[in-house]
Amino acid sequence: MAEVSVEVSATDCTDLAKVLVRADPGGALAAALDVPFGRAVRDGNDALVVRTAPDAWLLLAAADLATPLVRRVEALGAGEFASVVDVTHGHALARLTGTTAAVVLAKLCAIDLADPATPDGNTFRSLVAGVAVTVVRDDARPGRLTAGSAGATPAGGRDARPGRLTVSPTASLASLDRSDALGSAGATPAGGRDAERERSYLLLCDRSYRQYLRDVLTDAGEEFGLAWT
Amino acid sequence: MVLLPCPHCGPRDAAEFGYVGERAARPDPGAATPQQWRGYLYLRRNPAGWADELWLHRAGCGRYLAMSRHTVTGDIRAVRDAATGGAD
Amino acid sequence: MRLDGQPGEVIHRGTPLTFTWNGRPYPAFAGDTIGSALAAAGERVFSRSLKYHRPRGLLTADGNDPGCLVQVDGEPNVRGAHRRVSAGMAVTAQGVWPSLRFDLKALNRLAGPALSTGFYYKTFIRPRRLWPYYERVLRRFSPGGRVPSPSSPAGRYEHRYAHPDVLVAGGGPAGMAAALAAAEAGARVMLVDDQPALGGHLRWGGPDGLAALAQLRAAVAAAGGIEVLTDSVVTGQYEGGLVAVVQHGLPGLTERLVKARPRQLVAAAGLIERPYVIAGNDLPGVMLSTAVRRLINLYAVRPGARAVVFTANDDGTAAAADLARAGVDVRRVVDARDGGDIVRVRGRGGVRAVECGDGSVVRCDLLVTAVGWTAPTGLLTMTGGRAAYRAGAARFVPTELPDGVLATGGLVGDGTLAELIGHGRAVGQAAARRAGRTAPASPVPDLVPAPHPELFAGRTNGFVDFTEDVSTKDLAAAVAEGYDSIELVKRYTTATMGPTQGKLEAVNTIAVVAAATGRGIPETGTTTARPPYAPVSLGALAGRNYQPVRRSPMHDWHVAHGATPLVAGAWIRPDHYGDPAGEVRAVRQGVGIIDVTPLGKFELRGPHIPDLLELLYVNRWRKLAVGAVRYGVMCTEDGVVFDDGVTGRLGEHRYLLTATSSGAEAVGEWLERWLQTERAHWRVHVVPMTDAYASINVAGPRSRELVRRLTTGIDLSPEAFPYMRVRLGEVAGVPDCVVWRIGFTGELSYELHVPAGNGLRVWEALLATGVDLGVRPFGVEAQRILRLEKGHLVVGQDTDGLTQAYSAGLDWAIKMDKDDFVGKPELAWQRVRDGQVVLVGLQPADPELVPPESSQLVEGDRRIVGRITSSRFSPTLDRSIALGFVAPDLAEPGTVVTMLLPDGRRLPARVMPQLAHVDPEGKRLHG
Repeated sequence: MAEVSVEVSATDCTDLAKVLVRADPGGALAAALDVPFGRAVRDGNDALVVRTAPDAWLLLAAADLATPLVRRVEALGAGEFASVVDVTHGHALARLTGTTAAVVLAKLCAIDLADPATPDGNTFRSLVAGVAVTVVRDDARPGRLTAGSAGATPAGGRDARPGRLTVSPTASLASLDRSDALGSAGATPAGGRDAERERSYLLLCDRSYRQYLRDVLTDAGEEFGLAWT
Repeated sequence: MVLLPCPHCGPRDAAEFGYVGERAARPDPGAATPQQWRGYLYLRRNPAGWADELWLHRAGCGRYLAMSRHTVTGDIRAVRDAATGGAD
Repeated sequence: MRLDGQPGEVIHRGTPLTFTWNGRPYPAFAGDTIGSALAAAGERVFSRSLKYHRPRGLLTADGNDPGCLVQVDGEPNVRGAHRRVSAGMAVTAQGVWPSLRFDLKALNRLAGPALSTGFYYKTFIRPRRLWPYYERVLRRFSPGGRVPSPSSPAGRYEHRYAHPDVLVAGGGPAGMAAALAAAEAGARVMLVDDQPALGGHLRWGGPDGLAALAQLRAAVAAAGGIEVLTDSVVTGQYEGGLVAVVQHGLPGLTERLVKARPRQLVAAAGLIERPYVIAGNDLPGVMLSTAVRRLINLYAVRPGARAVVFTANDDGTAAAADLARAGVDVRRVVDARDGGDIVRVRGRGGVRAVECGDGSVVRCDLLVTAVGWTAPTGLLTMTGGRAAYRAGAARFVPTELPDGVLATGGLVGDGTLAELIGHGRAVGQAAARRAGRTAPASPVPDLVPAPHPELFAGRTNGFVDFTEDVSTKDLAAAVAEGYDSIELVKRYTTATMGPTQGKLEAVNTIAVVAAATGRGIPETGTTTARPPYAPVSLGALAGRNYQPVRRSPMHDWHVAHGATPLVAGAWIRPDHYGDPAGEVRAVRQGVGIIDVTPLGKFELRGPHIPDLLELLYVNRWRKLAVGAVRYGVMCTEDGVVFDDGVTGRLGEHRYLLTATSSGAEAVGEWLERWLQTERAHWRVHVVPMTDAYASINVAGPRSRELVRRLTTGIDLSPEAFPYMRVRLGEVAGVPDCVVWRIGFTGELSYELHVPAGNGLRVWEALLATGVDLGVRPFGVEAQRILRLEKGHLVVGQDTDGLTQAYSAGLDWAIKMDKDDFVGKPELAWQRVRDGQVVLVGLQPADPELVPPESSQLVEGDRRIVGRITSSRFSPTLDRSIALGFVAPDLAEPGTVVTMLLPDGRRLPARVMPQLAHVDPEGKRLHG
């Protein structure tokens, strides 16, 4: 029998730091975070800022950056009613990457994942296999957040295999400016040839569903030889 | 199957939502008679027509939504975040 | 008989296969259907009909064929004229006994009058006591195949969501043209066809069609945005525009259900040929013109030796030409357009002769009819569209379509191949435009159904619905009995209710009923079309059946250490580790630890927290100091106990609120509901932390020692850390842990909330460090016993949907002098009402008897005075204990009440002076 080629892989990124922010959408903290509802943007400080609700943000960063991140945001929110809570342990996180990542996710999730509807940098919360999951389309490379700490040495630089990149202190996140992160909306080739590009999605759920999410991704990805790295 | 229009997230499958109930104005608990209070607790207009309903976008943005929905056709003529105050 | 190579054949002569039919081996080629392979081998009878067990053969030679439902290996009700043969397939006839050829159930025909239409409303009813016997006998005669045994391997069924701009249902020339035009405009297109390859009628329509077919197929394959789903059926459109497509023939998958939300749906379902209703029209050897053309052109099968062709259109003429080309002796062509007619088909077990309208009888073994076309408007009417009858064309056609739906091809009208393609292109462009793409705005040309004589039923009585064995006589009888509306006729006779669901028989049924009632076809109307359009397996609807499961961080440890699982909602919890009584003793005498991670936990932030707590709990909260913990009871607006739990103040504007594990989700929503809808101006943020903390309750007289060994930064002395206090510190080296002293089990205990990623580490550290203290893990069952020994109620167990707070003995918690709290009005009224049931502790007189929970408490024969809500055997007291509700006149301590057990025994129990059975003064707790 022919070898099954791996068109999709998954990585558990549960150790990444996660900070929940609640604040008035019209306040200074909201302005400083500067991400519209439904988008996720890299800030200049190694964090992926995901706007999950009109008055809520989730910041993702390398595992050992939780406390400095909380401090930094608290400072931004001083002077208004804002809550900054370390929820690192409250959620499981998986990254799904590959040319068929969207096809796998489309077995579990009713949201339109094609480029016009969910371009790179978009986020939504919906049901994935019956569980509420926050999904972030995060193709951006290099500097793609996976597991590991900010202090770790990079795993060989710009590795072509998905799931192997870690955030390194020297990674040029600054070079990944805002307009890049806003994605290629409008640049879709007509008729949907976007299936051949590699895509990457972060999937965030309540921690207790961690094993269940892993099981359903494995099951849905079986057709494409999904491997966990 | 049915799509409901969340004002924040856009149209989403009804499975993401919870129906909380017909919206009713809460009487002043200090002044209401038992009949008035129990009317608030248990009696609803239940129209075959436009109804004011409270929904929760449970598996989406998590916001409570005030919806004006036709119980026969399923049409929705208005929906807003329930926190944006004001009587209607 | 197998013919030589045909230009459009789909069989692969280079890949011969063998399969079995009723146990005997038969040859086939890859690409053959079961029906075509058997027909090639000369078989003519494939099944026996539903009621009368008449032998049936191929009628349509496609998926709608009513005569070819067979059992394939373990799968019943397979459409044999559609399913392709695979090597080694075992095919058997259904519903026959002892065999297809000698089916004794055919004796049913002798019972004819007893089995007339609606017989099940009239016969086998009295005497009632014989019904079980009737049922057993009738079951033998019911149709259908055998359901696979539970041990046979399950198929794999998946679901998939899709969002095409345009979904085209039907891959004939018009459908392909529509898909191509839409894709050219940049639309994402999904093209669905139920055959193994695209083409529709072009596949078997002759060599001219084949050339055009090849071109269209190549164009579709080359187009960038068309996803082709062959072997797939659009089974319906549902509310909200959801279109269901069932896909077959996928490697490694039994079936896949695609749930699509297209912006535009294009129906291009073509036309379905109708049978002619005359006596003998169900004999093996009676076939439609499309059937013989498929058999000859797709499968190179000669359908018979000597044929009579009855035609009313050019397709019948073309079929006659195909027959001649295939070496069939076409003995007579009767043309209805010249006034010709056929009266009856003669034969037993197969066609022997056809009696024509002029009185002549022609001997033959094959009758081919071409009497008209039905447009399958079912999918369109499901979407809310309408169809109307055109008498001149003898066909229903779509008239109005809702936004989002378009139609093209034979479904709309007739034309040359170029006209069909032109119409399809224009419709495809229109669909693309409506879906937001840029496409030329060429007008959609007219496509009009060709004139056609109305030929439904002839001069003799014949079968109208082959799968349900409904004849014109049955329809006439129904009308005579007063069932004269089409919806009633359908239900009374079951016409159109079989596997074909009206595709072959609806129009004939309507025509016969119209004639019988004297109304026209338009006035008679159609029945309502509902999904599914084609049969759907339950597996396809179920999909992978994912069931969400929640696990604590210590889950694997519990499994590895022999915990018996308890399913609590979506959580899996350890019920016990083999000896719940031993676990109870360990807690009372030494120290035990329990994983209570599912406990609802909420981080509260903000200056208005006390206002929120005062509003939603019955207790007071304003004076709760930093570092203090209070037990709270939450009611709903009707005063009914909703949830309970402790809340601790961790900082000036930071609290940790806990709720019951089963109520956690509901409490979270309750908090948000009040904050969002009633108190949006309050400055409070609620952050769910149920999963963020692994929670461990360390309970027992030695718990302090154990916790002390592992904590840093917390003074555990009783003076520094009294009961109902909370501290933050490090446990087993893990920072940011919350530790509070509470007492659900009634023993000295500490509850640790550990950042979940470190939960297992702390759990194992406790067990390792406490070996000399006799530490043991205990599960939910032991905890239930422990708390029951202490009389602590469990919301939802010792309270129900009507239990207001005063009934649950929670008077002490309710602070009626608060201005407003949820439940206050009803509680105020409850307080002054008489006759409230009371929650009491109970002990059965027999210490060995553990009454089942929910046993009633009774007085005499007529009065129910309460019920047992919780009941266990107490290892600590070595006797049974319980909690229950009793009427107030029986609630005095010492009263003997009568328990009515489910087995009928009435046994005494005594009301105890307090709820707690063990250590009622609570000395152990406050140590």
